[in-house]
Amino acid sequence: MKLTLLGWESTGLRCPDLAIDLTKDGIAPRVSLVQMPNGTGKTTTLDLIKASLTGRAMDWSSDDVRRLRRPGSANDSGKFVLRLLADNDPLTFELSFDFLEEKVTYRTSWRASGGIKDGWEPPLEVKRFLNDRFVPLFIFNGELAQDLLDGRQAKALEAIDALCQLEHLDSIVTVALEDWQQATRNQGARTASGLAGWKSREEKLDARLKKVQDLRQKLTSELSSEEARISELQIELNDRLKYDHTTQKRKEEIETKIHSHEIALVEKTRGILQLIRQPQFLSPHFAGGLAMLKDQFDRVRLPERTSRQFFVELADESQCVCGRPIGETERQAILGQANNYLANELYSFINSLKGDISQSVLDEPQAVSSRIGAMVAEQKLIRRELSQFRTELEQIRAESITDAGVAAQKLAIELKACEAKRDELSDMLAKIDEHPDSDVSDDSWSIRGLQRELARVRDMIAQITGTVELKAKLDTIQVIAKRTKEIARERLRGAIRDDCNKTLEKVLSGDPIRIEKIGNSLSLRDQDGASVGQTLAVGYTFLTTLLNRGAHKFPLVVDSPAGSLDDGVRTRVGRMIPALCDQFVAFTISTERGYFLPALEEVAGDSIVYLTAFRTTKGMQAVIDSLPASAGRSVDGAVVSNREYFLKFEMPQEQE
Amino acid sequence: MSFFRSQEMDGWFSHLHKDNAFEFQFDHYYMCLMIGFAALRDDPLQGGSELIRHFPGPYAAASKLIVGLLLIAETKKLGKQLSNKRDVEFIVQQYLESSGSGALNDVGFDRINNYANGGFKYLAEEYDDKPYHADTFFGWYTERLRKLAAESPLWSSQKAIML
Repeated sequence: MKLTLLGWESTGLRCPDLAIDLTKDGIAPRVSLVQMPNGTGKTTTLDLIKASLTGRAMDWSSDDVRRLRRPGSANDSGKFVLRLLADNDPLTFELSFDFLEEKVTYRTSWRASGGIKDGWEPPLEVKRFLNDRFVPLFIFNGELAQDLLDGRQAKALEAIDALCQLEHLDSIVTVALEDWQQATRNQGARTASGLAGWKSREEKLDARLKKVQDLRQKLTSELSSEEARISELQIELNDRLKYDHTTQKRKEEIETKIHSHEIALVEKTRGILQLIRQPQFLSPHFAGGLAMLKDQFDRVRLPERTSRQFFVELADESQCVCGRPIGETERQAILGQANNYLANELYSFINSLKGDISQSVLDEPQAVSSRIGAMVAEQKLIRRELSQFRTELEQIRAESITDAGVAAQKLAIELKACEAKRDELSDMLAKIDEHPDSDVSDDSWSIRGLQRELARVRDMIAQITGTVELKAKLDTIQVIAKRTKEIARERLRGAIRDDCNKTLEKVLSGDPIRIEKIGNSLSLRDQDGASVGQTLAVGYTFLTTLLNRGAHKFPLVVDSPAGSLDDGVRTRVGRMIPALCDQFVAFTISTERGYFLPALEEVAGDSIVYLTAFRTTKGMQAVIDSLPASAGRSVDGAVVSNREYFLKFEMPQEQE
Repeated sequence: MSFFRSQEMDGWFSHLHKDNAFEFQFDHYYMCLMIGFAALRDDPLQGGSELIRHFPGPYAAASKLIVGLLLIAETKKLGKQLSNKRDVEFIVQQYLESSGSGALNDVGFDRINNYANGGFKYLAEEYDDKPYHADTFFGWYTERLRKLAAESPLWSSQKAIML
């Protein structure tokens, strides 16, 4: 990716209204010199260029925005447009300043994405470099070059990390960690010791299940024997019992009624339970209470149309729905307001509850008396009749057994004992076969409960096993990412150091200065310190080597590149810079021209654009009067693109 | 958090299982809970055993109504007013998960378990013995519940809607 700076235009801002075109014959030359006297707004312009590239103006405070308003001006708006090429495609950032609202909005123009878009929306391939860490590496002042050699700072290391985006390795770990935390959020045990506990429980449950299953088999067998014996006894007893025709007929009628009543009783009981399970049927006052609850929800207008989420999301915005900017004070006030509202989901619950009350109470036809009461009365009647039929049947049998003699009476006694035994076995089996709706303990009798619990425990083990494995994978990723970063840094440092030294050898022939090591900062070979010139040379070399590494190329934009250099160093730096990068943009003042400009021209030839820009104040009238016809003029500024003018331009009050 | 019930509750209702009256242990819990609401009686449950983490299938349709009764009872207990929006929002927020599922949060479970326990204590004190037959018990239970609600300062103030 190659980024080229084409120019910028400012209107209504602290710097003069100027349109700066860095191109020559439509092409960005290797060197663009922008001569701006002190007080013309160099710093402001550099800040605006950085803000355009990073999108940071959206976060500016009201004070930040206000400071960029032209002093003494009544204009309500301002604009700064930065024009670039990204891989030969025009890319434009436009910052619109609203001094009434004290905010800045962006527009981005990029042909490949369909033209102009609201907001700061650079193409993805460019966006990854346009951040606070990286942009200052190619738009900077001379201090950065010195900081690179300052052992107390880690500017060199930060620069390598920023360019090579080694933080992506940290992002991989962060994503993996979040994934693991998500996967383990609802689990109690995250370690191997937790796993051991669950496995021990699995063993206990498994053993218990086998024991109860064996018992069930034994009880079932015993029950079967008892039932067979009961059946034999019943047949044998019945053979001995003699009924006359009338008694026989009555007996059969009663048996049929008992059967039908037993069925009816179960059905009625279940029907009552179905009603009991709905609280509105239990008490007319419960039903009335629920109706009142819905009525009160309606009266206090719940659910509301605005929920807490609205305010929480609004607080995240930079601008309110009314268009005003949201600063920290406003954000806190909005979040405070959010506490007065329920979450969306709770409003959703209230809505559902109101719907259920409408359907279950208000839309339900009202009755004269309780439906449950009526069903209970019917149930009691069935129970009473059933008891009567059973008593009558018992009486018929008892009389018949007495009449049948001693042997029959003995059979009847044995039958009663077998039936008691059968009931006992049935109770036990019912316990084993029950469907518990609660979680069961390790000594439960319920096979289904034990099976369900065992399945749950096994599922938990599977999850924990997965967690343990996931944790092991996470640890591996962390180790790999950390080691990869170390190795990558080490290799990059070595490769960049070698590249830098090759360049230094070329651009500073005759000067033995070389980079020994790149740690947090740059260490020079065989010397503890460096002159200002050497520092700048090494700093520029390091940065341009980084910026032009691989397929990426960035412009080098420097404020006062030769300001603090003595004559000899200016010549060396001037010769060196054009060789280091494809585009060098320098903000200079007239006093920097000596020695520096000839050296630049020596290397860059005619691939240089010379711009002179200044504020048109009353004190500048003589200069204004002598402007060439080709000069660009605005209400408060002028710009001239001309080498001769550039060389002759003098501001007496300028100081380095 | 889950529905928790007193250890004695299942034993107290055990005979009704022979009567094919209940399909779910939650039925016991629910019947105690409704008595607790009607009597506005909540006895702190010490220990207890976990029953289930959510309303079982047969109660899914009525679950929100049950939670609604809890909200009404708690509004009264806390001296809040349903006619006051902020009071209502406070109660809803106090007892429900913010997921909107209608699930009770820890505080909500704690309160509802106490009402169920209070209801169970009431039944154990007031019913002659353990219930043996569903028809007998259901008859007594439904009549007593209606009477309790009709005499309760909270519920008697509500318009009676016979369904």
